[in-house]
Amino acid sequence: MNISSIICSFTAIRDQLIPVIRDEFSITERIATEIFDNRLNPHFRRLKPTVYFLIEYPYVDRVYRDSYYSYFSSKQGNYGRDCVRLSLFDGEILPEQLRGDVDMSDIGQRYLGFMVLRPTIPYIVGRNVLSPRALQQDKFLSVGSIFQATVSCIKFQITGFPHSSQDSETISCAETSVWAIMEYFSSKYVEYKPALPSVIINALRSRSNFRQIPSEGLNIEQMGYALREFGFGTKIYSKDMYGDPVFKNLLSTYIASGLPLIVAISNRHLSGRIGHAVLAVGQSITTDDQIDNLSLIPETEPMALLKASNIQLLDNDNIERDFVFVDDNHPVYQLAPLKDPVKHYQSRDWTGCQVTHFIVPLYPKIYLDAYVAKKYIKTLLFENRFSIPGKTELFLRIYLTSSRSYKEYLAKDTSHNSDFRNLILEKPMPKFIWVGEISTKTLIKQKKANGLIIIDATEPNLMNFKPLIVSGYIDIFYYPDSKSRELIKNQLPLGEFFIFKNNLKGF
Amino acid sequence: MAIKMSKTEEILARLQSEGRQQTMDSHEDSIIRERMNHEMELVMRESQYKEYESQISASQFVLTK
Repeated sequence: MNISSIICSFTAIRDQLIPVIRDEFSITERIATEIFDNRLNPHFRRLKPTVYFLIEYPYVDRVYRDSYYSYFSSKQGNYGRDCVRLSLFDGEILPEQLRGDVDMSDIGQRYLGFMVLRPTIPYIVGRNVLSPRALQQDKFLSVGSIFQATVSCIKFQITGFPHSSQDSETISCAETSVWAIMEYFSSKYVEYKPALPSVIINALRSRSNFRQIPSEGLNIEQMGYALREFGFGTKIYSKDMYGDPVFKNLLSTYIASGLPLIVAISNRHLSGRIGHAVLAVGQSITTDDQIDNLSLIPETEPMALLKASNIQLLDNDNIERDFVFVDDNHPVYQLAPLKDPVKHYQSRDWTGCQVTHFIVPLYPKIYLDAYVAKKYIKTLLFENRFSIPGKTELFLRIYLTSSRSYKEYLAKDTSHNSDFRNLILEKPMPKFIWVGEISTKTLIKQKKANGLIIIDATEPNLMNFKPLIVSGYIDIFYYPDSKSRELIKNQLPLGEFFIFKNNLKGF
Repeated sequence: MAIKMSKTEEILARLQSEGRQQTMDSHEDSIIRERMNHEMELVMRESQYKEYESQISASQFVLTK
């Protein structure tokens, strides 16, 4: 048995792929056709028509092989071990471009990712990583990691977010979400390892009172436990506990921080049957209209300082924007607003679904979560040491980032006052920081701010300015004395500076 | 040849010599600080309650589809 390869255009993929699926997965022409039309075409019709495919088979996929040996091989039915792999390129590719001593940089730049097809009929879409550049609608911001892939024996790299459909037996939506989170983080940071389906099942063995396969799903607590076992300091947020506005606001904060979230969706509050897990991995690009339409939303928690300060605060995370979802029932990168997270579903079964919980896979030494960090930064503002006149309208953007990423942006940016920049660059910082950028509606449309608050994400003791690293607004700059923790006030014009955009590579 | 890159000492010394630096240690400052400490105690208590209740809610919610 040899490895076969076929190159074909977007318009020829149906005619080429149906016979391959039929023969490789030992199914009839009719079933192969139905699978193409119902399961694969929804993925393909979102692609740019300039896409070319390279089909390779048989292909050994590590994720499917894990499910095969731990489950499918134990069944009487005839399940194959091998998969089919599709590699996608922007524009025409020729066999000679992948052989011999030729410059492959052009074809490398045109590589758009891969999609594995596995013999779990009809749920055949397996592991895939596609670049947003492969899609016709690619105007959104999303987290992504670099994945290595081999195409016809040549190594390529692709930046995207991992996706797979559930096979409904070894992996349901819950396991797929945990798998995708681990694929993403293990590709990005050496601290984490990928988690194959059998590894996830084993990790939850002690937390399950009933059989684990065939999968009947997981509860949210089990997902949090699995992520903790895999090295995260997991945090869970429930809409019922935080209330709708704060809950949505916090979800937006974590997305702006470049963290993929596991999001629970349900319509059980309307006596529905849906309990589904998806990933939120990005957001739409912020428009001037969205900024103009942003209105004041009162803080729901008691904050005496807020009432006294009279500052009007517009929170970036209250913008009504779309978020990017990775859903194992649908093709990757679906845009939907939080108030209608299942807008891409046609079935009435999904009517009324709402986001009920979300899980944040935090780095374990981030002890200050978004709820407390945002309250702290807002309280510092409302306390008004910057002498901000009453009724001043401020636009506040708060996010988590690594100090390494933030300092690199600061070191390379030329819009900051040089003294202000040097003072921040030379401040010792923990691995992760919360940053509040203070701006106005006018300034933020130019992607600029004129104030900044940086706090330590590893410091949950909020007394006596312990988490505060620096704060500055217009011409006043504060930092706490390292011994006494008394604030030192400096008259230092900050000027207007460009906002930080490294988390999502845009705003 | 050696070039000192760090600037903080020089910047802070300049700000001090120009009278543009002040330690916020007055009685009024300590009142503001205590007020903020109190506010943050409330926030932390509220946060711990919400976290605990979120965990209970999560344990009863199964995701299957």
